[in-house]
Amino acid sequence: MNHQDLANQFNDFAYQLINHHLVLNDRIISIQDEIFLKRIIFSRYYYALYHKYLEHNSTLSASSGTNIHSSIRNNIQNKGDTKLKQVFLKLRTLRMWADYELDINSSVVPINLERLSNDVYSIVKRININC
Amino acid sequence: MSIFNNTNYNKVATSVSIITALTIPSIATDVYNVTSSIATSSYDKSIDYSISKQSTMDNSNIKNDIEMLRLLEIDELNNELNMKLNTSISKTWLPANNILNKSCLFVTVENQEDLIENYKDFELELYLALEEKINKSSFFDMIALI
Repeated sequence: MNHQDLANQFNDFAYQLINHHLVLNDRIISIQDEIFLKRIIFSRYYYALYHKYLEHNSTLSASSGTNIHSSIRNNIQNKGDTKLKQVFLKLRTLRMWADYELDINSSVVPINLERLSNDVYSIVKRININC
Repeated sequence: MSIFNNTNYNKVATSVSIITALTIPSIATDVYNVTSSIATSSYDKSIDYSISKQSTMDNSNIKNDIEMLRLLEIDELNNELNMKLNTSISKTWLPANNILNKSCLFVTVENQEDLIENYKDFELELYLALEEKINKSSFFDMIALI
């Protein structure tokens, strides 16, 4: 599977989770369940952008190093277009929170999922990401 | 202007040094009150800065200094935002700020819904207005809307 396919899959999966989240919101769910769901959504959206970037960078794509994440971040921060930079750096922070800041006493996560979804979708569907 | 060239910052930094050396909580209260107005949310980590955390044990003084500098940077961003977009930060959320060297600062601003309606992409406008400050920031690499 190539990186564009992976980007599409991660994007679609996160989008389905958001729809699931909207349906669940009509019922009573615990804050913990909502946080678990959002952690997965943030992580999947981050990896959608991660693979989208690798699709357009054959050098990094072929690399087997451990610093791919930081290389992508540096490239996007220094050369990427402004909207890509904003969405990627925003998701990078959210993904780090989602995967590593495992505070079970977290309160509600105040992120607008619809805005996030639109941002990632617009980038994943681009033909070129100008990097 | 970087906060390190800022007269107010230097004054506060001096106070921080005094706090560090003498651990006088009353000075900390004054400094905290300067910046607490931009951190009013229940989920705002910035508001965690309090006298109760002024312990002389371990490296808590260093942590308080870092927290103080972070608040000052947010205050500086708030001033710039006020000047450029005529709005101000009302809430902040700082996920992963203990994990990443620099992280995204998530904010809500006054009249956010109106601003979102009036701009094609207000979140991007927010970043562009503060890009210069963000590029010089010690704590933040991006700003985005909650």
